[in-house]
Amino acid sequence: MKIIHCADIHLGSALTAHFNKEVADERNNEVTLTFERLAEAARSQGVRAVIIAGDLFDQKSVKKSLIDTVLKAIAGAPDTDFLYLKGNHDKDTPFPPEDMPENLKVFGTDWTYFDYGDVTIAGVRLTKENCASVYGTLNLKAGRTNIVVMHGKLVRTSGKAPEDAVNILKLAGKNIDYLALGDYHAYQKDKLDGRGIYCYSGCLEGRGFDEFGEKGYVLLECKRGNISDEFVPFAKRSVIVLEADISGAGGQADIEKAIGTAVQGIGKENLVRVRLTGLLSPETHKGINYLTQKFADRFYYFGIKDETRVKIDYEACKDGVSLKSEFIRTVLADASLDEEQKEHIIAMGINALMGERYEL
Amino acid sequence: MKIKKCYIENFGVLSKRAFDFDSGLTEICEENGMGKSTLAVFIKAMLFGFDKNTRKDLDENERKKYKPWQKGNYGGYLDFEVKGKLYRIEKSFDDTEGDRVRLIDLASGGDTEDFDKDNLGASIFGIDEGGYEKSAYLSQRDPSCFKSDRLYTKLSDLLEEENDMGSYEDAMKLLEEAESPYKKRGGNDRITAIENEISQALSDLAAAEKHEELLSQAMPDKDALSKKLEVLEAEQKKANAEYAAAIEWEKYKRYKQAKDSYEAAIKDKSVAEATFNGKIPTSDELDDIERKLKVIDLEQSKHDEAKAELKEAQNKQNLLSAGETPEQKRIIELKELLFKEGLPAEGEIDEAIKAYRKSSDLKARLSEPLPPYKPDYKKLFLGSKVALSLAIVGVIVLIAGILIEILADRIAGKVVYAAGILSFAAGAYIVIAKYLKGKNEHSESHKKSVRGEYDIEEKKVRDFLARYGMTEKDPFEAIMQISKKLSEYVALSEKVSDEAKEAAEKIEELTLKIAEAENKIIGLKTEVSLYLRERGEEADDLYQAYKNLRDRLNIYEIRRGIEVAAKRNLENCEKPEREFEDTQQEYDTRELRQTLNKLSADIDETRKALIRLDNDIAYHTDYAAQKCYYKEKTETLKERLKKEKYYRGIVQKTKACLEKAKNNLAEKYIGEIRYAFGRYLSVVTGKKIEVLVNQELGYEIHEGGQYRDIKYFSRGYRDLFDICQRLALADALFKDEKPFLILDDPFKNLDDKKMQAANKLLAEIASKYQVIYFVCHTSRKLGLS
Repeated sequence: MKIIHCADIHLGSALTAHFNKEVADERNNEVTLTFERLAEAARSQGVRAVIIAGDLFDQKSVKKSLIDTVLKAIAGAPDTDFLYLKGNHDKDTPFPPEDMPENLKVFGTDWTYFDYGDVTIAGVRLTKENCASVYGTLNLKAGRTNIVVMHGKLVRTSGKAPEDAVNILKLAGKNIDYLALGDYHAYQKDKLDGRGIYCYSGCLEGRGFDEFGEKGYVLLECKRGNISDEFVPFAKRSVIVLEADISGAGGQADIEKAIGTAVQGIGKENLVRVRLTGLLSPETHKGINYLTQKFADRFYYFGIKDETRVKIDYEACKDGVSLKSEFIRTVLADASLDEEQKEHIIAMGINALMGERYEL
Repeated sequence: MKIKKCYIENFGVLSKRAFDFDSGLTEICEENGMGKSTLAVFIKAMLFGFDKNTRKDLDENERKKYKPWQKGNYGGYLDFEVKGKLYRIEKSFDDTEGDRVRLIDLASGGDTEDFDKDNLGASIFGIDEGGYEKSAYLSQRDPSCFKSDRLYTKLSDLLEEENDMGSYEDAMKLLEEAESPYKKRGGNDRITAIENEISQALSDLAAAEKHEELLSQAMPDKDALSKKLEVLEAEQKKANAEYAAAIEWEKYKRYKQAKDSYEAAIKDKSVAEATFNGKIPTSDELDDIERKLKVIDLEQSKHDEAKAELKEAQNKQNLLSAGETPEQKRIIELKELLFKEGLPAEGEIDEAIKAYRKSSDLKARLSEPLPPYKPDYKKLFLGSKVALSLAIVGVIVLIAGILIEILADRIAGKVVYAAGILSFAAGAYIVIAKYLKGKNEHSESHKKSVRGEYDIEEKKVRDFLARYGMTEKDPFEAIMQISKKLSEYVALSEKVSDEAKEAAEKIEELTLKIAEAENKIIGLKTEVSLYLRERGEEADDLYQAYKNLRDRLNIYEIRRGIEVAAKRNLENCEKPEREFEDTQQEYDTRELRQTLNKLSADIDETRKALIRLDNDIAYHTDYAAQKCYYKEKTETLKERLKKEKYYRGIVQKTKACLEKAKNNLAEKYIGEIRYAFGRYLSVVTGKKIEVLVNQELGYEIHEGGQYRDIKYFSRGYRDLFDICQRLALADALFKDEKPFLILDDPFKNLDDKKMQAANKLLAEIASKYQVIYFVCHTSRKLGLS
């Protein structure tokens, strides 16, 4: 029997923190389309159940059109059950509606159990009221294949855990073969106890540059009392963050070359950010805007984050007889400025003396 | 730094030449074109290389200018000492292979990295070629090669580093431009703009949150309405079932009723049919009978009418025969009264009238005035010869008398004159008398004629009237009366005659008519009677019998119609699905219908309310769904605001630091420069010179009791002052490692007196610097080496 574990889809996100409105809207649609693809994949592969371990929606208020799309996708795979656990983002979202499809099931604030052959899938939504007691009321038979679904940060404590945290210490020894978690947006798994593992499936699509790496779902295969898991990359686009050390670069051309080397082999369909690091002379013209535009056509989305530091030859300017040297000395002597400010001021002043505009 | 010696392989006009240099002053006096300037440029090239440019102007492209025409290595070496250590810089300039440079430690003989061999000058002195040229190298070009007299500008020029594209002013301008978006007034600056955007985003967020709140309030209402709808629909279902049963019962009742009615109708019809003895009359037949009865009545009426008329006609005929009619009596009366003598002949009355009219005319003419007498004047005047003669004579005598009176004797004239008058008068008298006579005769004749006619006509009228005994009346009235009576008499006679004839004809006609009618009546009666009898009517009164038959037929038709209608009704009746017991209770379908209607209305209302609520929920949801977008937008804008403020701060701070650096720089050197400058001026002028450096770093020299701008001084003095400035700058700039000074004939413009001053100056600086002094004229030799 095949079961899919996914989470943190965050349908209906704004995404404007990272992208302009146009790209944000497009990515939003792509996230929705990915969910539809997931439902279709579940149908075509004969998946028995799809576990959504929280945060299906990004916020409480969701457009009706989006809810209709989700319901339609679920209804389109009538032989697959969609087991839905609300997360911290969508706990107040009015979903599912009363006339939900028959194959959509919801986990409540008490343990809710669904049996499929010799597999039991149990899930519970953590609240302030049940966060302490919930671990004591979980009841799983040792002879069955048990999957538990929860949403929250992972903690290990024998004491009281925060209400939105999953205390895996208290889940150990509960006959859990697979703890399907949501909340953390990157795929991660580890041992739970002697019997089972816990796993964050991560999100289906990276929505910003803080969600880089492969995204997808976990495919579980339950066969004769055994359960195997495999991460399946499923995102339409990958979010890739690369570093390019441009220390010593003479100018824009060198930086362009460094970026070109860094992004080699990256597919056109991806969202790419290049972090420029290293020490640069203040005179070095980086041309970030120009380079961003130059590489923009090669990818779905391209951005540069300038994390370079200004290299100041303190020795050279200590006794240097020039306006530049005097300027550097003046800045360095200003106790009201921190190091980062000093670097920026020096870089700006030197670029200005060179007739160049300096942008942070 | 001190130059020890140099060897030129090939450089400009110099080829395989070596030069040694003194540690103090080295004077090289050679003619023009011998290579003094070339040597100076060689030394500069060894220290700083060539300025990389591709300009065609040789004066600006030294590399090209000093490329040797002959073959061989383009370059050489320079030995120098820095801090007691000896070095050699070897350079070979090659456009094809690239320049070769070596910096050799002469002590070890190996290459050294103590200094940057590619930028030796900057590495040793800390200034670039430009700075070196403007301080330590005084060329033949105008010494005042600074951009302006301002010390600071000289300092800036001096202190600008290689490849700097801008100056302090340009840099500040750039920073101003960077700051300008933050300084716009009226709230148009970037910071305010972002703050406004944040404000708007917060407002939009608040609105989205409000919608979310409204959404939360709407959801319970929706649940309640949904529950209500459920309940109503359940009730409706139940009511529908009951109503359906009621409808079925009604159906059953209707069907049974229709069936009973049909059976009763058949029975009634059969009863009515039986009375016709098997011969059911048709409506057309009865119409025909009725028509015949009417005809009988009509004929009877005609018969009776004709009979009455016949009697009347016979009576009239009798009267006429007896002469007893009123008309006949009147005829007799008229005859007695007027026409005993007989009737007037045709036209006689008209004649009488004519005579009467004529006599009346004549009588009127008698009393009319006579027509005017119109005599024949010709005959009157000319007919009487005597009268005429008397008149003529009279006129002649009169004229003669007048003439005599005038011409001759008055008295005689008068006499003659009088005689003339008398003659004329006599003639006139005769004429007048004739006229009067004629007139009288005319009048008498007329009267006589008229009277005669009148009498004749008058007699005619009288005679006519006398025949009818009407002489006493007015003649005209009498004539009219006679005429009238005559007309009456004639008319009555004609009438009587016509009436008699008419009566006879009528009697004949009526007799025929009566016979015909009687025959017709008898025939029709027989026909009708037979028809009625066959269909069961034996009444003597045929009309009554017909009516009875008609009634019976109507009844039969009605019953037949009822039967057909009952059958149709039964066929149209929906057959019930089931039978009901006779004891079945009645359903109050009206009440059930009302209940159903009310439920339907309630359900409809509830559904509408739900739709409205759904619309509200969708509306609020759409807005509330924007919440995360506005939230993120607010965060992004706040972040951006923070960055912009930081950037603004950096720009402002950069400006402040740059200005401070400029001032520091100026202040750092200004004192020294002023002191050194004053000292050098004193050497040159031989007296203590006060120098004032103003705020713009311009300087003034105290002369003649006040500080004067340098422009007040002569050109020669100004050249000297410039050299002093450059030396003062060099003093200020090169504290640690003093450079050598190359003076390439800088005093060529000075007169003898000033040349002496220049000598003193050179002696002064040679004590501190290694000076290489080029000159091309012996008059400018110093003789101090």
